[in-house]
Amino acid sequence: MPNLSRRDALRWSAAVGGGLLLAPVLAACTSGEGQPAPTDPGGPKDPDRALRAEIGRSEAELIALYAAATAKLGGTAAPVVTGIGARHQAYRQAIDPDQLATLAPSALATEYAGSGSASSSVSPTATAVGTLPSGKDGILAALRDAEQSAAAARATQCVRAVDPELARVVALAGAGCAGAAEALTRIVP
Amino acid sequence: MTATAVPGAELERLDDVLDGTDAAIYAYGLVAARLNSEGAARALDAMAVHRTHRGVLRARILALGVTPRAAAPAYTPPFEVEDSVTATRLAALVEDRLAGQWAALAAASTIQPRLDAALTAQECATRSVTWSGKAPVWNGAT
Repeated sequence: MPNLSRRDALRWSAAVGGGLLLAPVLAACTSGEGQPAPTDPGGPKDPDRALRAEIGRSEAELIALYAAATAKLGGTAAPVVTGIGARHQAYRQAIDPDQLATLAPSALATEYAGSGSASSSVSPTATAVGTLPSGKDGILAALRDAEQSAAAARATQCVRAVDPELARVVALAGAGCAGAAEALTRIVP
Repeated sequence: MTATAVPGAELERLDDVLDGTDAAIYAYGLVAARLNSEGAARALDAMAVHRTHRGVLRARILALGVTPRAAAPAYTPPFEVEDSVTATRLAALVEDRLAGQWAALAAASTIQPRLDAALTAQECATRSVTWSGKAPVWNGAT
């Protein structure tokens, strides 16, 4: 290894190892200069209310799917799958802390006319809990497919976010779903 | 209402991702040297992907009227990379960290560049899992 200046070492630290210095990711500082985050995320003035609710519903579906999968799997795979699925609680809490997903669509109107995110569209449906296969391989494949669908949905939902911080968190959730899909393929039968 | 570009923030995030990408390219050289032929081939493939990203990032920075800074001649890994275990750990770390940086760039971009950045964050997160076998809840947080 060549001798490095302190600056170079710090650059690596910033580029790679700096993650150790990062506070919990949601408290980070990338809300976007000159574009402050809403003072009431999820509140009546939040232009992303409908988007938060949409993603909240999708995350709730995934949480239910993992719960059903864990119950069906049993054995050694169950705790591994539970661990992978637990991320969706974190995503739902971060994106839809007020549980807007539980509100009627009419309650999601914002005070911003023509909000780009005031859509009633629903993200691609995860595998319905009732149709979850019974075999282990089938269950894992269903979970993987659901994660891949969620990852694709989060990428497009990220584009619709008005608040840059929400866009970042949704992009991170999508990355987490993509990583989970890969991790599910690695569970040894 | 739609998201609006914030040029200052976008430039800052582009520079962050470029820095992380340069570090990843350097890291994969270390990683490839400590893995068997199959692992080394995977590392070099990943390095090629990041080289492509670097070209795109530099072009975007140039389009903002700024000259991209050059990569450092070398980077010091946060831990000693002495065998296949630590090499694999480093590969997972750089990809995890980059996933977080691309997500931050997505937030500072709009429309197509935002979508591209979000998808690239997913690719990095997936590659991280291929090295570590583990998927963190929040990429870039550890």
